[in-house]
Amino acid sequence: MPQPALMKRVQFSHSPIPYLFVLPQILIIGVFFLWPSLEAFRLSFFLEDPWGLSNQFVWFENYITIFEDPDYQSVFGSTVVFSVVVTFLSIGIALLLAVKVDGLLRFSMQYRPLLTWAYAVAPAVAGLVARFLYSPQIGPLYDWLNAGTDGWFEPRLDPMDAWLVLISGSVWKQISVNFIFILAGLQAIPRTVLEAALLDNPNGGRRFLSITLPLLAPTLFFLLVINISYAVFETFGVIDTVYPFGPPAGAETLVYKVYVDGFKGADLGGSSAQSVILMVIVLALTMIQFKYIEKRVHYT
Amino acid sequence: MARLELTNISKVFAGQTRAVDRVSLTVEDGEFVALLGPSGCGKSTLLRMIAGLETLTEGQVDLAGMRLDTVPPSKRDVAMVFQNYALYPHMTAFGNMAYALKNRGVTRDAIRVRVEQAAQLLQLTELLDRKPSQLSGGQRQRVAMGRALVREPQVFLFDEPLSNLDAALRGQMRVEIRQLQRTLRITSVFVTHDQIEAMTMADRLAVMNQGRLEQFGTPLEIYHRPATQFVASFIGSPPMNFLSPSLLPIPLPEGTVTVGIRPEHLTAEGAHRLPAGHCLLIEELGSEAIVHGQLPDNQMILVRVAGDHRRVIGDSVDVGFDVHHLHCFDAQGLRVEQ
Ligand SMILES: Nc1ncnc2c1ncn2[C@@H]1O[C@H](COP(=O)(O)OP(=O)(O)OP(=O)(O)O)[C@@H](O)[C@H]1O
Ligand SMILES: [Mg+2]
Repeated sequence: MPQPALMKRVQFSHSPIPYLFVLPQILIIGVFFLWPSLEAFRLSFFLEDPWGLSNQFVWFENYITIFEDPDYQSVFGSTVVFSVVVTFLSIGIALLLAVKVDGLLRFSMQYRPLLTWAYAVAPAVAGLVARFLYSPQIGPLYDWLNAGTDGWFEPRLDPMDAWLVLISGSVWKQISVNFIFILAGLQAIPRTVLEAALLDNPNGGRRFLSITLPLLAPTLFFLLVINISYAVFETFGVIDTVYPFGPPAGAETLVYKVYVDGFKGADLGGSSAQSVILMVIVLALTMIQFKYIEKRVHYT
Repeated sequence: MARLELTNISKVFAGQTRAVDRVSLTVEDGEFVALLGPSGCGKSTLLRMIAGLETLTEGQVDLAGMRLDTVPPSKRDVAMVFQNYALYPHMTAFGNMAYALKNRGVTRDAIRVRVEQAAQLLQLTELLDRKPSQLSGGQRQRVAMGRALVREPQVFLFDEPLSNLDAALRGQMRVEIRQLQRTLRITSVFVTHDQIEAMTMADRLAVMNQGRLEQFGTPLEIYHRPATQFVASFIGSPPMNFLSPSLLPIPLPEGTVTVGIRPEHLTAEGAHRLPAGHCLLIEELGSEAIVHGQLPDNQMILVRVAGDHRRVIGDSVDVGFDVHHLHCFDAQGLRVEQ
C-alpha cells in the first residue's frame, strides 16, 4: 500500500535521475495509452468513410449523434448496473472469504503461498471458463440451471441470462485479486489492536464494523478504484471470449459497443467519440472517489 | 472484592514450549503486583491468560471468588494496557477511551464525564481530539492508560507499558501510575523486566524464570531473603557475588555449595575477612563506585564503596562481611537457612 501521508509531504527534488528511472514506464504509457487516446480524441471530430479514403472534420457531430441515440442510452444504463454489480460482488465476496481465511492464517502460515496462485487469471481465461460452464453442449451450470424446466435459462438468446453469465465470469476473475489484497490488508492489522478490541467489545459483528473495516478502508478504497475501471474496461475480454460472435442484443457494455461500432461497423469517428466519453467518465469517477471517499479513509 | 487467584496455571504452546509452568499466585484486592523476569520467561503469556487472550493448558483463574478462565475475554471485567499501546489508529484519543464504554451501553453523557475525568488525571484534556499518529510516545501511553482507566475494571493488567519511554518520562509515569492505582485501589498486575521499576512500584513482587514462579514476596523480602540463587542473582544491581564456600573462614550450613553476598555488604569493617585480592577495575558513579576485585583463586568480586574512596587500580582489596548478610544455596540453587 502506498503511504499517502508520506507522499503528500514529499518534495520533488531536482535531480534528473529519478525521471530516468521512470522513463521506460512513461514510454510505455505514452505509446500504448497516451498516443492512442490522443488519436481517438482527434478521430472523434471526423467523419470517415467506411473505406478510410477520406475524412471530414465535423466538429461535435459524432458526439451529438451518440447522445441522441436511444440505443447508446440503454447500453449506458446497463453498463452502470453491470459495473456496480460486478464491483460490489467481487469486493464483497472477496472480503467475506478473506475474513474467514484470515482467522485461519493467524494460526498457520503454510497456506499463504498457495493462496497467491489465484492471482494469475486473465479476463480471457475467466471468459473461457464461463463459456464452458454455461455452454449448452457441455456446461454443467447450464444443465443445472435448466434442470426441471424446458429451456428456462438461455444465455445465447436471453439478455438477462447473458448478463448472469457475464457478471459471474467477471466477478469470478476479480475475486482472486481482491481476495489477495484484502487478505494482505487484514494481516497488516496489528494483532494487539484486535486483541484490545476483543477486551473492549463483546459483539463480534460490531467489532468488525468499528475496528477491522475502518483499518481495512485504505485497501478497500484502492480496490474500489481498481474494480470500477476493471468492470468498465477490462470485462471486454470476458464478453468477447464468452461471445465470440457477440452477446445477445441488450447484453453489451459501452466498451464492447465501442469495439462493435468501430471495428465491425467501421464507424471510426463515432467509436472514437464513444471511447473519449468513456475515458472522461472513468476519469471523473476516479476524481470523485479521491475527493469524497478518500477523505473518510484513515491511513495509518 | 477483586481478589485474583491463579491456581497451578500452565501454558504449553504447540505441544512443546512450556511458557508458563504451574504458577500459583494470589493478588489481594487493591494490591499492586509486579511480575518480573528475564525476556521469554512467560510474563506476557501469564498476563494474556488472565485477560483471556490465551487459553489455559491447565489450572484455574478465579476473580472475586468466581471462576474466570471459562469466561470469554470480552465478558471479563479486566482491562489491559499493551506493551505497544495497541490504540485504535482511526479513532481520536477520546474515541479510544470511549470505545469500551460505548459497547457496554453507557450513556453518552456518562461517557463524556468519565473520559474527561480520566483525561484530566492523565493530563490529556488538550489532546482528546488527536489521533494516535499525532501523539508522542508518552502521550499515546497515557491514552492507553486512560482507555483502561475509564472502564473502572476489577483488574488492571499492564504489559511493560513503560518500556518504550525515555528515562525521564518513565520515572514520571512510574510515580503517576502508582499514585493512580493507590487512589483507585484497583487490583493490578504489572509486567516488567526492569527491576528498579518492579522494586519501586510493587506491593509484592513475583519473580519468574523459565515459566516458573521463583519467589513471591514484598520487594524487601526478596532483596533480603532471595529464595533461590536465580532470584538472588536477578534482583540487585550490581548483582550479588557468588563465592565458593572454601573462600569463607567460617562454618556454613549443611549442603551449601554456593554462598552469595551483595556488593554493598562487603565492607572494610566486616567482622569476617575474605582473602585479600587486588583491584582490576573501578566503575565510578559519582556518589558511589563499584570496585571489581580478583581474589587469590581467580574468583571475581564486586564491592560497592562510597564515591570518595580514593582507590586506584592495582590496590589491594581487603574486605570483610557480617554473617547475617550471607545467602547460602544448595546444589539445586535453593536457599539454605543458616
Ligand atoms: N504464540 C506462541 N506460540 C509459541 N510460543 C510462544 C507463543 N507466544 C510466546 N511463546 C513462547 O513462550 C515463551 C514465553 O513468552 P512470553 O511472551 O510470555 O515472554 P515474556 O516473559 O513476556 O518475554 P519479554 O520480556 O521478552 O516480553 C517464549 O519462549 C516464547 O517464545
Ligand atoms: Mg512480554
